[in-house]
Amino acid sequence: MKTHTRPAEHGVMTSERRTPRILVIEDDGDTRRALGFRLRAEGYETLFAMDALGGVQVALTEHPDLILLDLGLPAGGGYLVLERLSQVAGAPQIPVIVVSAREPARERATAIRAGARTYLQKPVRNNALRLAIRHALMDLD
Amino acid sequence: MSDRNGGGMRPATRPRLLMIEDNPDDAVLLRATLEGAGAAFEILHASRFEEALAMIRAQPIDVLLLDLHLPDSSGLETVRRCRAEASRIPVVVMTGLRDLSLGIESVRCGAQDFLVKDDLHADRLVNALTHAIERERVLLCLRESATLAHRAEMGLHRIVHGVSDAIVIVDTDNRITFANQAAVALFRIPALDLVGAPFGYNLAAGVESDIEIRTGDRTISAEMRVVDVLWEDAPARLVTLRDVSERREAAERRMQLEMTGEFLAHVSHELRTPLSSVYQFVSNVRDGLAGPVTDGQAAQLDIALRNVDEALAMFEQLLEVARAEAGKLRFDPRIGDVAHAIEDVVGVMESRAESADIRLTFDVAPDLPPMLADPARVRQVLANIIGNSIKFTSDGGTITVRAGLDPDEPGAIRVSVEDTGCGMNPEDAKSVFERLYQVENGLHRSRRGLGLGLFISRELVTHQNGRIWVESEIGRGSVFHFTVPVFFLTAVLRPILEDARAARHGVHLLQIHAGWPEHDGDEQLPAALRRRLQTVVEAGVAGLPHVLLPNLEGETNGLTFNVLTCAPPDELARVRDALDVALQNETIVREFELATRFRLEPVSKPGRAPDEPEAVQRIEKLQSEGRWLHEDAH
Repeated sequence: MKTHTRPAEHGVMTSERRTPRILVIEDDGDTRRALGFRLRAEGYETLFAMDALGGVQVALTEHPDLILLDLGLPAGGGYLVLERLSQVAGAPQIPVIVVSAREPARERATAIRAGARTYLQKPVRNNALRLAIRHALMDLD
Repeated sequence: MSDRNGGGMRPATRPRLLMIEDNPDDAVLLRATLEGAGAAFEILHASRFEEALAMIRAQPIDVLLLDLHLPDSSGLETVRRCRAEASRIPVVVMTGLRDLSLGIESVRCGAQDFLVKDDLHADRLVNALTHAIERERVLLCLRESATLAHRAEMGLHRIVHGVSDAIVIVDTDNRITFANQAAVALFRIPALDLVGAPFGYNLAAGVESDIEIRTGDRTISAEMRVVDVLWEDAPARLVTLRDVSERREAAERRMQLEMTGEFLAHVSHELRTPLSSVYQFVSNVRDGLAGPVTDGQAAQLDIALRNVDEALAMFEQLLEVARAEAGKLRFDPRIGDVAHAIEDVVGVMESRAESADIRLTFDVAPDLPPMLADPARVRQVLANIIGNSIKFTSDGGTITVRAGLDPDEPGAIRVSVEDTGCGMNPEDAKSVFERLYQVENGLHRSRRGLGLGLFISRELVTHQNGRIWVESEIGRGSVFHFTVPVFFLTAVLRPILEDARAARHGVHLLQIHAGWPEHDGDEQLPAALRRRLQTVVEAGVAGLPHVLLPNLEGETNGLTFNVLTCAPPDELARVRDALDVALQNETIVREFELATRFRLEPVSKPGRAPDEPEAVQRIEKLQSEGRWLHEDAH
């Protein structure tokens, strides 16, 4: 009988390191909730913002370990967040994973050039998200 | 009958007068009168008509002085014969007092003037002769002008009636006073009925407007231009009409397609959001994030998730169809590997086949040559066909994918997908590639889907110079076939290898690479970027004798262009430097922060003709060595 419990073997948790905090910048409420659910199940702590300026604000004050960024945001759009974050001198850059419903054909390269670590198209497959997050967080070591 | 006496285009000598007079005394008298008056005529004399004719034929004569009573011809007959024999020579007739009426008649017969012999003064004689010559010249000019005018008018007539625009002249009462052939054709009303009919449209000079013409059962869109003119000395309007119905319809169709495409793209994008939510929440529950889940629950949720996938796939198809219909399908032909494509697709579709209890296998002929096609599109076609076969094949069935050289078409690779499904009748087999065509499926497997997969496949195959068709038999199954062109490296290289300059300068491969040196992702350059780079490279090497090889499939993080050339090395160096500058200047290169690198590799030595197999081997090696990043690591 197969039951599915919380996948405890996933998620980055070591005794020396605190739990990674992931900031989700997404204007759609349902998507925020769903992602939040999933991230916490993976063992991460979550922070949220609903628009570009809010997202930049939270990023600069809370210093999350990773940002999941939707492109279609009010108050400036996802690229504004990337732009503002890249302007912050001195502090280490927070890795950003762009999660968007847009066609990846051209958007992906634009996002990466704008500073994103990687680009995931919605609906995001759970495996892809998990791998992308782990990859981005590992680079911090 | 020759008439060598044209009207007066002789150098300024005295006009030549031929006097036809049989009475010798009269002749002498006339001569004396003329000379006495100081008239500058060269005087010739004939006393019989025949003699005169001979003289007329022998030399140019400017004027005839004719006595109507000659021994061998008399009266009007003489005049007529004169005008017939020498139509360009003016005739002045001499009559006796008794013959006044004859004199008048002579003029009607073509004589210029008549003189009464017994009443002849020198002035009158000289004037008559001089004026006769002048009048003949004037008549000649008039005749010539008339001919020219007539020709010009015929020419204009032809133009006006031959032109494809309808031309109509409308008077101030808005009635048609003239219509050309094109107007007759446009209105489908005969010219006679058009003239005098009211024109019926508002006319404003100098304005271009679009009107609709309803003739009988059809409506035509026309562009109308109006100018003010004078027509037969009265003010009127010149109206030109051009039938633009076809152009307008085509533009409307294009616009509709674009709107449909944009509409579909927009709808598709918007619908993805809630679908995405469904996927996320259902997968959250299914993965136990909202509490433990039983087997039964997990199975149900899996079905829900599968349906989300299907819905998303349908949106993709809609988008593709919209792109295909708007003519916006893009292809990125590469040198690719058919076996590789088949392996990939079968790998992806294996689980779907398995869950339908269908065995999916492939069998690729060994040593298949490379294909020249867009590898992603080939995979797309294959996935569509296999997906279709899965739908129509019952449990326990098999689907086999085969690939080999096409036995009927040299230069093509044929890929076949054979299933042991329910097959279809000939009618369906013909229409199965049509849009939205769906065959009645007796199987328990539901007949889901938009019916667009095979239509898209057909578009993708035919746009890459391939054929697609199906053989099928009810109850036994179907075999879908499609072809892709073979890539012949030797054929592509031959023009350069055989070029005389190849022996002289040797052959080189100029490799140009543009890519992201630090980016460790796994994707290809965006299509727009690839296209722009290709344009720049093509322009840069245009002046060289060269062949630009197609790109290899599967290159990530950058793109390598391979240019085979027989130009001398110093020219190559120049072109390479120029290309370097051009690429650095390209907005898109800077925007995407691409790094460009060049390599110049010899393929054959100068001084001898290249050995073809050797050269081909070397090129293949160099082409596959696009490992620029790892190069730096060495």
